[in-house]
Amino acid sequence: MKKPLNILIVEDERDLRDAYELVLKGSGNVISTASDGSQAVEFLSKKTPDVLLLDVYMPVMNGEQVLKSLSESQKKNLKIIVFSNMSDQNLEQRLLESGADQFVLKSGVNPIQLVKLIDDFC
Amino acid sequence: MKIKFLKKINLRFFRPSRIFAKARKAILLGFGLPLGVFLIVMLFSFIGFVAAGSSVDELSLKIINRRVEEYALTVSQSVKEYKLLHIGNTARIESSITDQISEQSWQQYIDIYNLQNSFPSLEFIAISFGDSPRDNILYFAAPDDAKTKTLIGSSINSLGLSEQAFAKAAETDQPVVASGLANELFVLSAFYDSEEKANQSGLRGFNITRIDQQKFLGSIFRQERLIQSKIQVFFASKKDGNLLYRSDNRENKDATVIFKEQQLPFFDKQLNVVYEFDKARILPWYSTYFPSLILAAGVLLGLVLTMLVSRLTSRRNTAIKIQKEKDIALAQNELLSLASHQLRTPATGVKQYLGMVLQGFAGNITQKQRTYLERAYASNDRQLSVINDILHVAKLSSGRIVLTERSFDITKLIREIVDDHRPEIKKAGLSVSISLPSRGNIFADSHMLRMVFENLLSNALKYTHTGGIVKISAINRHDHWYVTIADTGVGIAKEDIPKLFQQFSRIKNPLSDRVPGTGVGLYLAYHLTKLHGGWIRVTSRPQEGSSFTVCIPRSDQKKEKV
Repeated sequence: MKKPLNILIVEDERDLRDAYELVLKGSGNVISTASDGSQAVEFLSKKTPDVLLLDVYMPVMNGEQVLKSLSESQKKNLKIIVFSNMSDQNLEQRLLESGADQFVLKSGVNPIQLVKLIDDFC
Repeated sequence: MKIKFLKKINLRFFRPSRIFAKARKAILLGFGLPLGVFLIVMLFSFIGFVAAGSSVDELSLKIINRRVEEYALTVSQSVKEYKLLHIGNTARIESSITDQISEQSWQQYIDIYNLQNSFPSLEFIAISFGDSPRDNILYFAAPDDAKTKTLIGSSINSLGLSEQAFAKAAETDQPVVASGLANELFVLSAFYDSEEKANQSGLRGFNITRIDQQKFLGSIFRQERLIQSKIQVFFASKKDGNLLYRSDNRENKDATVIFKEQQLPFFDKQLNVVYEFDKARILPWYSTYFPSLILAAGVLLGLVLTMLVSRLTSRRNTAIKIQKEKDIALAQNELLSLASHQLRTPATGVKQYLGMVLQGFAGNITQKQRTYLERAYASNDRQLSVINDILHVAKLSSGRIVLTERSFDITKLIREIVDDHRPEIKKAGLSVSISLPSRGNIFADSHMLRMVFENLLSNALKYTHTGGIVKISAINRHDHWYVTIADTGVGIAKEDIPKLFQQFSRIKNPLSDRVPGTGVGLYLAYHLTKLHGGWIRVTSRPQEGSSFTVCIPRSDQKKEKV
């Protein structure tokens, strides 16, 4: 039995946020959620989860801004998966340079694949 | 909020008034600025032309005034010499000259009294001896031009027509210009009033000297110094209008002439002298052209500057245009990414929830429910792949796909693709054989090549009946990779082959109704291969199968961008 992971899901679309929470909770992880970037930054200033599942296109503060606001030490202790439906090579490049560990096209991942992604990744 | 962003892009780039304003600005910058520069340079060179013209005129006047002063001095000196010759010096000359003056003693006479230095304007003085000493005649000659000498005067002993002048000369003991005799200057010798003294003098007949006025003036004006000063024409006239002298070496009737008048004392009279200067000849040759040179240089400078400015502005305009095109391309790119994002997001929700139900997150479902949900799930998958395809086609047709090339193992990529498709292969009941070298390096965009091979493999799987075989092979030859995906499927009719790679074309075949597709797969595969500098070749027979071979250069010695 693997150790449960602390995962922060940052997603502005409620349907998706709920779905990811349900799926990842179901696979035995501890989930926290944030509905925009600033909430995520606030959360991260207090706690450091194992994995950050970060949407890019969000109101108030987008995923790229979140990455830029994080300190190097915060990023070091955090696995960051950027999750987006924007398929743009430049954006992908920028996010990876800003400290994301992996870029995943949201629409290409079903619940089973999501679980596998997290397991493989961590 | 996201909708607002779409509107913003729209407005920023497609507002007509903005486009007109930009066009107007481009025209003003393109023509207005160079024209302005040209006109300003022209204005300055015209001012320079006028200023130089007036300064040249000033300079020529200065030169003329100086020359005229010189002439006045020369004339007065010459007059003085003649006065001296007849009034002063002859008194001393006479004592040393005998009746039978030999040529030798004449030379002595000239030497002793230093005649040639004392009277430099005289070329020579000669004596002709008559029967009586009174008939001896003294001749004066002056240079007429550089080569010939002209007799300008002689002493005479007859009174004749000159009585009045003689009377006046006798009375005043000064040289007199005879007013009635236009061309003759009469000079009275100092010894005229004393016959005895005159007879005693060495030049016994030398009591009255007659000098041709015209020749006299000519000799003065034609002295080398004056000839060199390049004055074309002189008029010397008496105040009463009689022309005394006129130089006749007028050469150029079209010359720009400057007149200068001068009053000259001439023995007991005043001479009114009019000089005609040819502007072109009194100044150095280049000075008359100086204003024109300034104008020409100005025109030249103007043209050069105009060309330069026009070149710079056109370069700037091109840069602006390129930037604008970049901006538009960027905005369209953003728009495309955003549109696909907006389309994908709800479809992703469908995928998640259907997936959760299908994958048991909501408890058990019946077989029928599963079948229906699987159909919905497949439909959703298709929707997502259509969005992907449209995005790619849109990017491709506007030339915005940029290859991100790197070195990677192409055989590994092919194996991965085949492994990803195992579930479909199994489902379709096909067998797949792979023939690849153990390793194979290539420099290319792995994402794009994945798309190429996935499309070809997916077609092979879709259009092959259950039990068929799909063969995948790769070989490296002449620095190119040849990847062949062959099937034993429905094949393609010969007449359909040209249509294969067209956008949104779907070929009719026994399976096409059952198989979903958007008709862009081969279009994408073809163009992505071409973007790599490669090609795709098809061989096919209906009912027997198709074979697609992709050729990609191995290294980066490419590229023909689409």
